[in-house]
Amino acid sequence: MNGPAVWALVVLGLGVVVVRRRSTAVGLVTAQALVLVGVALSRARTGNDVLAAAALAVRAVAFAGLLMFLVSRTRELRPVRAKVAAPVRAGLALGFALALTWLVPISPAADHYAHQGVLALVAFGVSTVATRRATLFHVLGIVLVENGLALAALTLHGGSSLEIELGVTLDLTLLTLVASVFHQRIFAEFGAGDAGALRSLRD
Amino acid sequence: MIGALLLTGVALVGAGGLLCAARSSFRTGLSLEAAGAAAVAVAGFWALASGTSVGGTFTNHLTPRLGLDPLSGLFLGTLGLVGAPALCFARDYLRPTGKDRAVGSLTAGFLLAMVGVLCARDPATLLAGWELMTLLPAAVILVAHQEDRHARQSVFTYLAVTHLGGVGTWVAVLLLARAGAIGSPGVIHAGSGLQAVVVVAALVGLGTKAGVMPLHVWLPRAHPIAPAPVSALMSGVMIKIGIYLMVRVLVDWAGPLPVWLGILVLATGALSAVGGVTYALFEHDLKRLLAMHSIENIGIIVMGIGACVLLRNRGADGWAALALGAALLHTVNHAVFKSLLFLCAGAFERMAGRLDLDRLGGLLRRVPVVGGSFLVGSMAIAGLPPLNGFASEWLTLQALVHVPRYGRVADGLAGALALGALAATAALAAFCFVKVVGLVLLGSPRRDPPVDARQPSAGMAGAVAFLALACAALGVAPGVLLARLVGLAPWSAGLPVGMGLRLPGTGSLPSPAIAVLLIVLAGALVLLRGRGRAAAPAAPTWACGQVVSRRLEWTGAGFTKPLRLALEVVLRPQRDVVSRQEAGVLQEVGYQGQVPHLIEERVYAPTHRLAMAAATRLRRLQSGNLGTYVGYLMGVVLLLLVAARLGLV
Repeated sequence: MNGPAVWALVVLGLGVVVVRRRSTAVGLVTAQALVLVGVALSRARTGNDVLAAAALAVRAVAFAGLLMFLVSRTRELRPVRAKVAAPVRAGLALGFALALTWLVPISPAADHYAHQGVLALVAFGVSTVATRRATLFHVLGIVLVENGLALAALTLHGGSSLEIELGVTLDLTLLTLVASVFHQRIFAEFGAGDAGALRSLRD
Repeated sequence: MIGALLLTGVALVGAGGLLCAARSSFRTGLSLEAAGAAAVAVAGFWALASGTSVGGTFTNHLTPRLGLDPLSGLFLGTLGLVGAPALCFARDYLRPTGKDRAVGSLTAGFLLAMVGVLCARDPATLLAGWELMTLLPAAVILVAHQEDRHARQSVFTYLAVTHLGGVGTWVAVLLLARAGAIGSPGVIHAGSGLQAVVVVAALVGLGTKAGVMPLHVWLPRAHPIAPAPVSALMSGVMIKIGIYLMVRVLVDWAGPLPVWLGILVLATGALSAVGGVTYALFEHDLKRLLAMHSIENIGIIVMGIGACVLLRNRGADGWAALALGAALLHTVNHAVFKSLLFLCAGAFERMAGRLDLDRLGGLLRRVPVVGGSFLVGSMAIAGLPPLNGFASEWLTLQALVHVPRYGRVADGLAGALALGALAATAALAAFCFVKVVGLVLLGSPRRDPPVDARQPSAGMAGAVAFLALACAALGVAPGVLLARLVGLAPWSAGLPVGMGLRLPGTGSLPSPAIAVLLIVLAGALVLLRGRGRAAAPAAPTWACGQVVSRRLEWTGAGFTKPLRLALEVVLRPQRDVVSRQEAGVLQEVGYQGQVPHLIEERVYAPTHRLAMAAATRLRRLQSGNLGTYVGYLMGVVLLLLVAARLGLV
């Protein structure tokens, strides 16, 4: 796997963990997906591979559109502040990523670079959900994890396929739609897409 | 043929349950359920009598498999014997309202779940049926008492206790399946740790369902609040399913047990028998009293199983088989007389509105058939000849007498103590039912009947009369059934069939002769009484100058006071006297007394408090913050990965 591409994916993922604005984070996730499209195209050997890359590209653009639509529908006066400061979030995410890369065993046949990249993206996605209060960032965390899984699929022998990409797209679309509906409902109820407000519902 | 009959019965019960859902076919549905139960009874007793097995054999795999053997046949027969009259009773007891229609349908499901457990031949079907059998009566009670907070709490207690205790059933069944011992005795080594774990787990799990002390707390709460036909099925059959599996595990699958396990079983039975009857004596509600007596009778049955285990350990195989036969005979007998008593209680409740013992009275004259049947049931449960309770208690007593004879110091002492416990239980039960019969059937009514009071219909009276006749038949000719029951012990060939009970090397019980003698004596007494009436006309009651009113009649508390005082140190009864004075003149004195259940106060209440305190502390983990929950997940993943890295998992 191309080292700079993996580094680009990881840096973009870390950006999602630390940035403040939702639209910036959407841009970063979309950029990440487009990098994945580039990787897919560079590794394409057959027409099916190209179609899979095209499906990945359509998914990236469609999600960018959906997420930007959500941002525009739920404009907030001030961005929801995360309880954890950006440097601490970055530290936690990096620590989790390092722990995973140390603990998860690597198959000798696997691409070392790509494997670590996948684990880092999964760690960043989970860390985003854990440390951010803005509900849209929770959706973005899930998309981040999915991008990590897409990278893992590309490193497989034979790469991804149109069927896999369509299946993943359907899966992710459903998940994102449900999460988006929740985000909108929370915004309508509490005036902000803040998961912290849900604590009042605990009892 | 047996299989076809059983399938027909099951199909009829199922179809009846579906028909019950519609208002127009409600009574037809219940009739079909009753017919199905009767078919199940015939199939079951046929399998027992012929000693044949139908369908699959036991397997340790999880593939669903159903079958029937003589032991399942006995319990299926009992289920049908009780179920058919209970459902006939329900035809007039329940009304085609939405609530009662749901009760009728759920009752069919409940019956089928019990049939499922009895016919299960693999662990998966067995455990699935077991859980359904627990959940469906809870649903019936919730449907019947939708707005009653107390009933919901009782159901919660029932579900909590039976599920916590039920873990034992799962552990025992799954360990047996893992060892390959289901249906294959001898696989588990005698005296091994596995055997001990299986038996103790089974005793906890199955004992909870059977209502064995100290795991009984759900029983006096849940049984009384169910509709009368369901109470009859719960007390008459459901708790016996626990006994069915106990016999399977303790007597068959787990192999010969060591002495200490036999003593444990015997002690549990003795505690249940004495504890159950003692607390029953001080109950004021008829259905709760009957529920406490279920604990007592389960104790007697478990004592029989304990005697069987000990006698087998000492090589007295013949007497071990007789002890098992005694336990199984009492199982059938208790099913019959307890369902009879619960159904009668249901009829009384419809007439009197409540079942407070101190508010009932004179019911024998008002409803002679139901009252007379209740009298028969009371005599049977009190162990009086010539009824069925006497036969099986006498047989259990004989088995216990032989435990010290064949045993050494520990089991001999345990047998002797159990013998004393059974004797005390029989005496206390007789005392208790003298009180019940006196307060409920005799005297005059102590409150006016409610406006919506209903006389029992012919169908209801017929159902209880049938069960009363069954009590008499099983009491007069117990030997017919016992011969087959003794043959159910895996090491026994059975006994020759006879009417009475003929035991080797000891006195036999000529029950038909006893019955004839008692009938002649009773007839003579009636004749004498008839003559006495002519000689001595009735005179007004002398009450020390007071006006004779209903308030001067016996109360349950008054009747049992001598015993309560004698057992004060153990029972620690509580009383509260409240007096009202006006201008220094005493106007009214109120008295309230109760005997708290020590096991609940000393064991369950502190455990409950500790559990709630621990839950309050643990609740701090439940922050309501999504990030925190994801953090927990991250922690768990990391811990598992570290454990994998270190080779711990």
